[in-house]
Amino acid sequence: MKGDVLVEFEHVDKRFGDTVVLDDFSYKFLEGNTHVICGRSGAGKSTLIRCINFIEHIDSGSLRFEGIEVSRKTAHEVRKRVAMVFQQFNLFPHLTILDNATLGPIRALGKKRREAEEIALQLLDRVGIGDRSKAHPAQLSGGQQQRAAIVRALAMNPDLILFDEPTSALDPEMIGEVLDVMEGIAHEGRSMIVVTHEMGFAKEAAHLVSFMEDGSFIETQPAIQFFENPQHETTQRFLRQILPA
Amino acid sequence: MIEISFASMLRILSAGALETLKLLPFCIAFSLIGGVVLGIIQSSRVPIVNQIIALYVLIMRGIPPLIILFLVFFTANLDSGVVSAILALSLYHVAYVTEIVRGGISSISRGQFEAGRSLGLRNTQVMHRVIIPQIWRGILPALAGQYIILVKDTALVSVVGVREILWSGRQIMQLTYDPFPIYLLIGVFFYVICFLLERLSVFAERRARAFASISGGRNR
Repeated sequence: MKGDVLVEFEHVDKRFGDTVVLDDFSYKFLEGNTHVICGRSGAGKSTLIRCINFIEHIDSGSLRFEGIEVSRKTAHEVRKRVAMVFQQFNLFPHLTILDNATLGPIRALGKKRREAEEIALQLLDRVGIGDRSKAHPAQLSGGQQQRAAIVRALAMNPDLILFDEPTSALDPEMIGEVLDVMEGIAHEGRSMIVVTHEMGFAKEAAHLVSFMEDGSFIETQPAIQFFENPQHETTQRFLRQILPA
Repeated sequence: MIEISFASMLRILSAGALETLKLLPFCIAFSLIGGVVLGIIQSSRVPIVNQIIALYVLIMRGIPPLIILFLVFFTANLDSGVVSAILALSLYHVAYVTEIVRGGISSISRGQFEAGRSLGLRNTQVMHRVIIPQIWRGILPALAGQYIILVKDTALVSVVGVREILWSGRQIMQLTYDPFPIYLLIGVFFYVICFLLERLSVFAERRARAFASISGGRNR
């Protein structure tokens, strides 16, 4: 239900060797929200969302998804409901676009191939690459590849989609087509957590925007307030640097 | 000394070659299946098992295949030289194939593993559906090289009574007492088999590359 707690971090610590990435991090992500996380590189943004589907493991504290404690044991169940879109797309190069989008539904969710392909083709149409379903990833432009990767995520019909800097590896002219697709998903009311530097997207599509630094959220605000009236000095400085005057 | 016509020599050696060619598919299949399985295990974190396999690889790499053949033949107490030969050569070469496969897997980007897992696939499914299909192009040359060595190692199994090429040649020699032409001919037979395998691997590589041009470079 919209407004329910979807992901809950409680006093989470995460270190890489001596580097503290998440420092006593607590936060509740709510269902139905598009939550944009921004901040300088090394702030822990990617690590934070990668903990949710257990691609990274927390060192201490508690992390729950839909009430389930995320752990080695539950990772498999959680991943069936949490999809991820990567900076480098990470499409499977040996499979066609259609097979990329049906692998999860067929092998992890146990869907019938026909049903999975029908859904995938609809989604590919929706993001404007329905005619490329038989192509391999390398035959597509970067923007098309990332849209295909978003379809692969959507095909799982997930309760949450994590976006890890989805436009950072794209040529500038292709960023728009990917952001358009993401905005469409956001307006559908699907829960999304998006790590991005695209402040335009945050303004247009986000319900909440957080500024992250040194492993914690310095400030979390509704999108309009975040941009028009940021409370924290660090956030103000960051926004001055990143936004055109 | 008995005269044997060139045609008869060829016939006898061909019979030997046929025996060699009977061994090869088994050795290739067993070492490939074993190598892929062990290579996958070595690419995953399985405490103790990893160490045991690593030790196995180390030992196999440090012992001449002939010794392994004798060990298998005399200790396993197998009646059949052929079975001993297949077993020994497979046991020996599986160690190398394991390392080749492990290397192939480690050349695939972490993002591919992460993408597979984040779709809710089990680790075995990630290997089967995502990773292993991508390693062949990279490891094909090394694999072909290994199997060419395997072909040459089959010359050893005459010592446990397998009637392969070298064994057949020796039979001829015991009649003609003229080693040079026979060994030369034996060499030619081995060369032809290796050459065919080499061509096969070049062909497979080309196919893989043609496919690669549509499936693109390996994802970083």
